[in-house]
Amino acid sequence: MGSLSEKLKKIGLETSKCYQCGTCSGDCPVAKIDFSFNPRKIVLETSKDAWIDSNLLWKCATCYKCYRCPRDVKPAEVFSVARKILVKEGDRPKVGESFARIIKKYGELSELKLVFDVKGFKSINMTPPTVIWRMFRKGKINIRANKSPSADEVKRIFEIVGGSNGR
Amino acid sequence: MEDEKLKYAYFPGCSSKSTSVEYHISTLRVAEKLGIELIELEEANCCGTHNLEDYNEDVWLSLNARNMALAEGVAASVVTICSGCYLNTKKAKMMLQENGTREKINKVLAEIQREFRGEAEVKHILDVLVNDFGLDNLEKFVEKKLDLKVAPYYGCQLLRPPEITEFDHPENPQSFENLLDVLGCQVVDFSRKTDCCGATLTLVDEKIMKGMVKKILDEISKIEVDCISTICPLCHYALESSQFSLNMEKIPVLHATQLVGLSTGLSPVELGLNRNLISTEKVLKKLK
Repeated sequence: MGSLSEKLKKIGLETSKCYQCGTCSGDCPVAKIDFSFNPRKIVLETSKDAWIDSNLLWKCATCYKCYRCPRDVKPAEVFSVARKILVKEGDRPKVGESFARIIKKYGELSELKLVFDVKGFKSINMTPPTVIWRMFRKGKINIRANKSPSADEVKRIFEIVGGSNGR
Repeated sequence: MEDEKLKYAYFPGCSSKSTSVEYHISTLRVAEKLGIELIELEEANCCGTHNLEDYNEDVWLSLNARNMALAEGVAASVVTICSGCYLNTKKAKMMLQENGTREKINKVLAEIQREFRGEAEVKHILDVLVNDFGLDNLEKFVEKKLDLKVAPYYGCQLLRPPEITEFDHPENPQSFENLLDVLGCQVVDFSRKTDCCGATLTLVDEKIMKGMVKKILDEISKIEVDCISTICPLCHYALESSQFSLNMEKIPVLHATQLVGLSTGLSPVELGLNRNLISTEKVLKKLK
């Protein structure tokens, strides 16, 4: 138990060390496009144990441009651990769920199946028809993606880990 | 021993079977040409990416431990061609050194008769070519200097976070430039070479991804290069496919291994150049 900041601190991530210089936000490529994603602000909210929108945390591209934090707060790592904690508390991020579902079933990712699992029929609008056609012609769309030779063992791993994570 | 053949367990990753099949093919051909032995881990599983890591950490650790366990029986190092696979495998390996974590995960693996011993070193193909095989050595194989102006795009997860990736400078790396230089290319430096293409966000928020990749392509468009070169299948797909929705003159995007292959005398077909989404004709014409 304990608050989010306490849980982070326990594994060496001290968000209270942040002095709000904004280096992370300046370096973050996502923040330059989507103003709702402001790493400096999310770190501050984390240190204050304010409510955090999990959708916002999942907008981190995990590119680690924020690695050069002068206070070594590790924003990308903070967001990753925060996502893990929220999932344990019942959050069900759609993309994370789809990744787990597809990997559990096939042992590997079929991009096509993953996209359909997340977006449903809206997937068709995601890629220009010329690109889909080219991919198809060049054998890059694996329609009949079968299970990988790893599939049985991968499924077992999901089953064994079970418990609160047994999805 | 000087003449001992380099040997690696090879983890090609999921996109080697679909969007980046030509990256996989060209890697195999180039390795063969240079005499680097790659033993493909056909039973490998997906690295899970940070999506699975954050959704179910123990499964993600177990899957990456399983891949490394497969590699341990095969060679001293496992090589990936995907920066995502690289970071995930290396990060998992680091976490598996922590007290108790390895024991916990090995209990899971014991149920499928596997054991993670932490012996396999994790490498990326660029590291193998530049540092293990070595540029002096590569130079001896160069049959044709490539008279091309090339923008080397590194992307993010091969370089950062540096305490995990342990490869070159996180923001001003030179390995890729040095490789292309040996092949005879005219290498251009550009500010966004270590930016993130946004591919990891394609399914989370496509608008962000499109914005990120546009900034990179806008900058490269202005430098007027013959082609872009990449070292990650996700970067490659993002930089190629996004050009179809942008109002720009198309720039071919070649995998680094395709350029190495062209320079060492392999044919375009052997290297899968007919399978890139953007035609590579312009590049090939210039090389004639």
